[in-house]
Amino acid sequence: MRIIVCLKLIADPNIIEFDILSEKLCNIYFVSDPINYYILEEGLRLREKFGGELIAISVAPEAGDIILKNTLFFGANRAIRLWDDQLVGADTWSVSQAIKQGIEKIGFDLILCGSRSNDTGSEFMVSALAHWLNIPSATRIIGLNVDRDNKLIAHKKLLRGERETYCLQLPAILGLEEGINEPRYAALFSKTYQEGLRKKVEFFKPSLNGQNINQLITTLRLIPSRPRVKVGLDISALSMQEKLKMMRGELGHKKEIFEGSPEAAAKKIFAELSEAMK
Amino acid sequence: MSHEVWSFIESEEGKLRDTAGKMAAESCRTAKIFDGEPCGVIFSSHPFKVSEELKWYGLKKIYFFRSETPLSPEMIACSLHYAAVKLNPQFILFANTPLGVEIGSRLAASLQKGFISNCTDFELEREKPLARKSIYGGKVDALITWMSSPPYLATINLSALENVKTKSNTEPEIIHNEVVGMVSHTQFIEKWKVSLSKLSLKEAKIVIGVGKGVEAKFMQVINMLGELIGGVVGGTRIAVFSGLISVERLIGTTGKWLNSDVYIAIGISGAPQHVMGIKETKNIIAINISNDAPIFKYAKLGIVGDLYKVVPSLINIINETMKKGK
Amino acid sequence: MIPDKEIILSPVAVVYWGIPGYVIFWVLFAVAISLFLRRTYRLWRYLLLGRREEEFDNIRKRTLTAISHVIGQWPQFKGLSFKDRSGLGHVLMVWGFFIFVIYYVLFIIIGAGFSISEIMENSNFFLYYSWVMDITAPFIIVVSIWGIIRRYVVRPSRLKGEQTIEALVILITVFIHPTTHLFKQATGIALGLPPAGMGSILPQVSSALSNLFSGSTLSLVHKAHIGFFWAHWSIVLFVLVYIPYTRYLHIVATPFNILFRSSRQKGVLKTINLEAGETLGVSNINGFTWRQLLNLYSCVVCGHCQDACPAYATNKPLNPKKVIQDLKKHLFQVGKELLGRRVETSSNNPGKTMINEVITEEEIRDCTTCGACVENCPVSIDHIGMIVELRRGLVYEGAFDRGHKIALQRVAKDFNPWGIHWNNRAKNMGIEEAKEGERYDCIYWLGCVASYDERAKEIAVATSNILRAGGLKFAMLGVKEKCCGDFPRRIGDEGLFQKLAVENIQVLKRFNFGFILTHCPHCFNSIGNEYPEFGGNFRVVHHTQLIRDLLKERKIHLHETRNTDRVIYHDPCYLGRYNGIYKEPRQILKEVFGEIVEFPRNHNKTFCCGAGGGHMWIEQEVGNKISVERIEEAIKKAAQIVASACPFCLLMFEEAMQIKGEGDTVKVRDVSEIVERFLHRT
Repeated sequence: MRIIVCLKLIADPNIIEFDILSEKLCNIYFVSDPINYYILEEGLRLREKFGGELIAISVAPEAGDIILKNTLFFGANRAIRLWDDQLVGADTWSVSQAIKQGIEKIGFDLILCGSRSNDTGSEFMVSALAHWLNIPSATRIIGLNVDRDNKLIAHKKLLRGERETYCLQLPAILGLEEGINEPRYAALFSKTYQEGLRKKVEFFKPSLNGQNINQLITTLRLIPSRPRVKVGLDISALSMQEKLKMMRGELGHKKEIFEGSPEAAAKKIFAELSEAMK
Repeated sequence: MSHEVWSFIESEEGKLRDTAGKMAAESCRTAKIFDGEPCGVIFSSHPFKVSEELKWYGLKKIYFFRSETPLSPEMIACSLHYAAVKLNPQFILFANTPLGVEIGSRLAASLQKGFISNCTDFELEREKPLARKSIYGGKVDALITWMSSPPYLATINLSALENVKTKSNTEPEIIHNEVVGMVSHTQFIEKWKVSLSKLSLKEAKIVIGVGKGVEAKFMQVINMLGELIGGVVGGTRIAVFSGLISVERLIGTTGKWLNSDVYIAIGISGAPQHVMGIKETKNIIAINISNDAPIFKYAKLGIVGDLYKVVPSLINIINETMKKGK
Repeated sequence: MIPDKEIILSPVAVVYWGIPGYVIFWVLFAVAISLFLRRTYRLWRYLLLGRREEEFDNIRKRTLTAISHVIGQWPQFKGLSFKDRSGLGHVLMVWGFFIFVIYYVLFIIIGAGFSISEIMENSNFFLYYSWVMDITAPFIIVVSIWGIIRRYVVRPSRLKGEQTIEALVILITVFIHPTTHLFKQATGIALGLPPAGMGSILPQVSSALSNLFSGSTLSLVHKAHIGFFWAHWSIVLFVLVYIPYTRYLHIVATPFNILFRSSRQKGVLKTINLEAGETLGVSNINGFTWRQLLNLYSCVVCGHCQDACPAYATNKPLNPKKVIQDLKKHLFQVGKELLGRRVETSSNNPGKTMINEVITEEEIRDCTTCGACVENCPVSIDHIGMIVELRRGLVYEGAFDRGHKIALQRVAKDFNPWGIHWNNRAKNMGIEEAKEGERYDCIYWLGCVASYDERAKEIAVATSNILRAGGLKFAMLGVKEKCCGDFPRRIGDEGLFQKLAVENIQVLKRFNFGFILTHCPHCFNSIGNEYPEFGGNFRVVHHTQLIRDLLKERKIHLHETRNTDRVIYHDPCYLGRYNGIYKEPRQILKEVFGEIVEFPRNHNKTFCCGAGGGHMWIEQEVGNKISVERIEEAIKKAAQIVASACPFCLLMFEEAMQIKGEGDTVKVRDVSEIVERFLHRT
């Protein structure tokens, strides 16, 4: 089975800061998207079970070589980086088109990606690739297996512990969720690491033109974060302070300590629960 | 371009899903911002009757697609593609559910239009429609616009949705459409629920934590409470040592870090190692016998009392309310 | 009693069934020695299966150590305690053994063998030496009886399961040996053989025994004399052959084991040159070095390591004694085959993996690297060195305990085992961040525990208050600090350790400071003892040392009124056993409280808290009873405060108190917290 895992290089969301004066992002450190480990682990797991080849690809500038080399240390057969300088600041459409070229060049039975990236949270790529490559897809997968007839059994994660099971015919593409497995650890100079040292990261330049490099969406500007102002709240009754608090999502954070009869206490808890569940 | 704002309303086996009302409301809200016509889009492979419910949102039209065969996102996207080309709506909105995202992405890919997922709001600025979404884990919001021509495709963040009804009801015009037939290589097998005992702490919306103050014999009652409110039971390191819970249920620095909606801390003092794991929860309710337990510093609602009395009382109230029909 | 002047032939001069005595003597000797040499040669070749060992430095120091250990029997004296006096027995046996060996070489092999015994025995030297033997022999008899009773009747816990035939045979030979000697001497005296007839006072014991034979005929006594002679000689030869087949091997192996033992400082693990291609760890027996294999030969199954091991004390599978014995048995089992194959590297040999065939992964992981086994071993076996090599082998294969795996992943990504983002290290500590170009008295190295754990943070806050009161200019590295690498190295992830060490050293070198201060013994050990090998030569001071100095130099003062709490001090393994810091914490506590209580096992005999060797993060072993075991000792001593000097010990004991459900009956405090509480601030 030839498995391709698509990995992403992102700016570390834990360090990145929004400078409100310049309205720009600063403290940009590129790291491997945390979901990459889960995708790679799933790919390795499937390869161990069914044999074949595992190829890691990523659309990234030179900084991405590190994460691809890392996949070799973990045991991937090949690692390929795709890049063209036109892709700087490109939107998800263009990146998906670039990665499509890489995928078509390699050939595959199964493509594994993350459901969404941890920077912009875009969920476009999996289904778009599925449409262009004309293969079945499923996203937000929390469990995965291949049965005897080469059919893919995938468990999709819905809200509140609900799952839907799908059966897809290979070749297919899946978007995986964090927590689908427990990533392994390949220590420096362990067996798989030594094997990975002998391999090199390959480079492939996708051919981009007006057809596929298409800025379909663009970010106009960045602003401080706030949740949606809900209509159900009667804003007119709130003071200025409270309005600001609400904007920051802090309204309703009044702390209360109750001492009383067990029945009264239970009633309070029940009220709190009902309120929170809405 | 027509000024229609299409809102994809999800249904399942002939019944509306709980996001349905919210999406209908969203259609109207968005239509108001952009001066458009709110419409709903429903696909169903089962007999469907537009329920009374959808009349309360102010939708002008409902495009109804009835299919003979089971539906998949590919099929829905394909049919929507033709409908969009024919009718040219201004917006096609989906809820940020797996289904919504899959259909929306495929549709965007086939129509070659911009697709913005997980939006929290829309704005109109100098005649341009803008979508607001949170990026980098909530550090900053981005205002994004579509460079492609309409229809503008987007999915809406689920916590931004609101089930707002109008005061009067308007009967929407129901337009029936054909579903384009095609072979799908994705087969839906079943829908199921992860049992509470297997559900991971990170996914649970409600978590109950047990600590030093809980005796092993009482765990049966705690588990009963969990079953009733759909909460997963976890706890502190002490609870693991005492055998009350398994090590996967450990909440704390060396265990799991919750981001649930509700956390009920029962018999937990609130040691720093444990608090580390519950900081991100939205509502913390704590029950402890001593009023100077550190946990009360972090709880939204703190109950100073005997958990062996409070918890059974709570279970009683829940049972009674359920009987009355919650 | 002076016999008739008949010519009494010495036993080797007699002719037996036509064969002269000395021929039989030499033939028996030759047979025994060839059996001995044959077996020893085989064992020698097994040793050579091991990998090379580099260091053999400081020959003078090594020789002195070997002499004091082997001849002086220093470990036995060191290990003597009120409860365990058996060391004394061994000392007497060994000294008796030396005395007898000299006797054999001189008077039996050279004397009787070359038939010059008559000449030798007529010397004064022989008389004096006979006196020495005479005094020694009864001691050995008593000691051997004591040994038999102790092992087979009393059955102390340290010798649990060791009531073996082999040990019984050995003890019986130890009994028979001096007994036959005494009777040989006695009959000799009765016959008038030297030292009898030399005119001086005869050795008392033998001469007393010789009276038993006063009533018998000369020929009977002569026959008895010959009988005892050959009995004695047979026992000697039997023991000679027995040596390389049993634990008696330690007689030959131990002196070399001590002579060749590693001169690496305690607490420093062996570095592997990974970049140069050295394999990570050991999966097969021939992956060990010959020095480690020699360890296996030296083990006498005494059980000192077992008794000191905290894992064994809490009923975990690990037993250091069993590990060594299992490895030895395995070597003997596969040695022949390995010799035939001449294999070199361990990874090319999948068929004979040790793990899980000989030693289970769980046993390997149970070790907290506390060092008690190594400290108590009388023959200088380095159990920890071997266990760490086995752990490295597991890391090489990618086998991890789940808790360890997660901890290592977190350290690799965020440089701390809690997995909190590295950008949040040491937030809100109130300590200045070090700036390049400025000169500081010290850099306060916080370590991961104090940087991220809320409880341990208080140690750092307390210490920094003391530093300020003492007028020191100090700073912390903040987010530039990374995990010191101690526990990754102990788990076996040598690569991660080396990477962290190199990076930390690079950061430290950018700043200008007098010394590095740390409150964590693990960081103290790593940075102070292990970093020099990677180019980081820094002076590292533990906070107890600094606080003691500040108190002594009157740079900080304590309030006059202080509690009279009953405080007990726990020696952390990495501070005490590994780095010899015992006095300073006690001096501080005595200054605060006047007097302190000691744990039953204290100073270098301290009992581990259970967090070392990566155990803080291990998953399988939930319910760390090691810490509970230790805290119970504190409760028994009615202590109100347990004072520790290590953040891990602090966390483990607080947790142990919670497990026991005793709440606040015993408070756990770091030494710095105690001092800060009573600090007199101007």
